[in-house]
Amino acid sequence: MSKRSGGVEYSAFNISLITLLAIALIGVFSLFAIYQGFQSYNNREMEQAYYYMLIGIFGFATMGFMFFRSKTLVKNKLDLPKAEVLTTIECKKCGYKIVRKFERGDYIFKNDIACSKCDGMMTITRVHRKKKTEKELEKEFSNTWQS
Amino acid sequence: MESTSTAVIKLFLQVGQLFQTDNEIQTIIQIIFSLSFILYIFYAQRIQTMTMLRQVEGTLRKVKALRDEGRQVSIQTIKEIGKPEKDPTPGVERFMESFLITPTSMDPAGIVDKFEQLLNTREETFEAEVKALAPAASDSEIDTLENLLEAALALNVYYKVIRHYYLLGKKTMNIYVILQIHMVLPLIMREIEAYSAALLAFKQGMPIGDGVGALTAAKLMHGQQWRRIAKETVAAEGSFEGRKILVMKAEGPGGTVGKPGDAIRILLEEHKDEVKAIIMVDAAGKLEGEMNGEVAEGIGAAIGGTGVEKFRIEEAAKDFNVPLYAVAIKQDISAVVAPLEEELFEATDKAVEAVKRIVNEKTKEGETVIVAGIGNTVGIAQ
Ligand SMILES: [Zn+2]
Repeated sequence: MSKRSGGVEYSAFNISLITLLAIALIGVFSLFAIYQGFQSYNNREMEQAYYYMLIGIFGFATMGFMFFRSKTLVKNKLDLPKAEVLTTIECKKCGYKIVRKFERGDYIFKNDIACSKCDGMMTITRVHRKKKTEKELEKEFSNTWQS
Repeated sequence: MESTSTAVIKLFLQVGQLFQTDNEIQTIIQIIFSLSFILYIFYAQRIQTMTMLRQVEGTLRKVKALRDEGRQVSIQTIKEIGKPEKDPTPGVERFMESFLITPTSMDPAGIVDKFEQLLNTREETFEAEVKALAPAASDSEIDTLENLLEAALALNVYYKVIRHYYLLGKKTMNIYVILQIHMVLPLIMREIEAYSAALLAFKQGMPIGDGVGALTAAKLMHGQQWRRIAKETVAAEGSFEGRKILVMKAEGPGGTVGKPGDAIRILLEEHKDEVKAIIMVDAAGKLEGEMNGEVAEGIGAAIGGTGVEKFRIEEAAKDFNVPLYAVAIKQDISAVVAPLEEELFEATDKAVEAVKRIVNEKTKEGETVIVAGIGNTVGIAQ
């Protein structure tokens, strides 16, 4: 199961024509505003230059936001939970212990597996996921409030 | 939202004031600013509605992908395990659309019996259907396949309900219709993600987070002779510091919760006055900030689900006048049906210790205690 790394792909929003037009329009205005800003700067009208620049930058920021929002939505992919589940098998007779990946048919307290080291039978003592890493725990930020 | 919009308005006013009309271009820009402003005043709610609708649509696409994944995994697993002669797809699709009508509560007397009868019918129907779909599967595999199909069914229901509100919202363009689904969406998504993790667990027959109660019981009864005392439920007799311990759990390793209500009553009837305590061990939802795998002790019947089993257990405890003690193993909703986490596996050792301590504190030597491990026992034998 952990082999499946791709997840499920699903169609999401494509950038629409209206959005594209809006972005183009904002772009033209922003360019124009910045041009005006430079003109004012050359005329030593500092305050006006500052506000024109502000409008221009704001316009470009809006464009970027609109564009990237549409873009990230397009390549949406669903990450299915990838869990690495481990099975621990122990022999009571000789103490031999194996830890391996979970296989279908494994279950806790299954005890009909022949031991490869002696003539005894092995029992599955543990089946669980790998412990979460510090990074994963940090992501569940409620961890920092535990006391 | 309100404060940001007023801040934006103030900003625009200030910017507008600074554009003293020196030339035409400045006038045009000022007009555009004022216009966008007026538009915002009139269309703010509509813009918000459309934004919310878009967000709901995004989630809906995600849920649809998960629903399709659920169906795909179910069909594939049935083919792998059940080796059916014909294509199981129509059967799985019919299963995913099936429903249960709960009894009316207008006259609530006796509703538990009615509900229980319906649930039993449902269970038998599901079992027969899965058996027909997967003729080569063993009994425990059929239980687990049933769980898998139920997870797929749940995903289908979530998808259809979200789609309903989305389409209704789009039709009416009413902010309050959309708001209803939009505001609960983050919480619903957590449940949906939990069910998608369940697909992974049930497909392979892995133990799940909900199985901690059954695992605690399994650890207590492992190595002892067990017998079946109720449908898909087993019990074993052991001893601990001079007390007789009757441990019960659902019969593993198939995916089932058994009939703890019936089992506890049968054990009480068999041992009548000897039983001095019932200790129930179950998984419990944790609050945010609580530790995963925290073990807490309390009073009462620790069991979730429809409430039928809880009612049966409480009634049995009352009839025989036996106190109910509860041991809860806290876990996040995302862990309940996902493959068992290591923290939760280790928490069952703490739960075993808690059970032993309660036995020591609440009973005297020579007395009998019932320990009930509640939860889905998929991937856990005894
Ligand atoms: Zn050995």
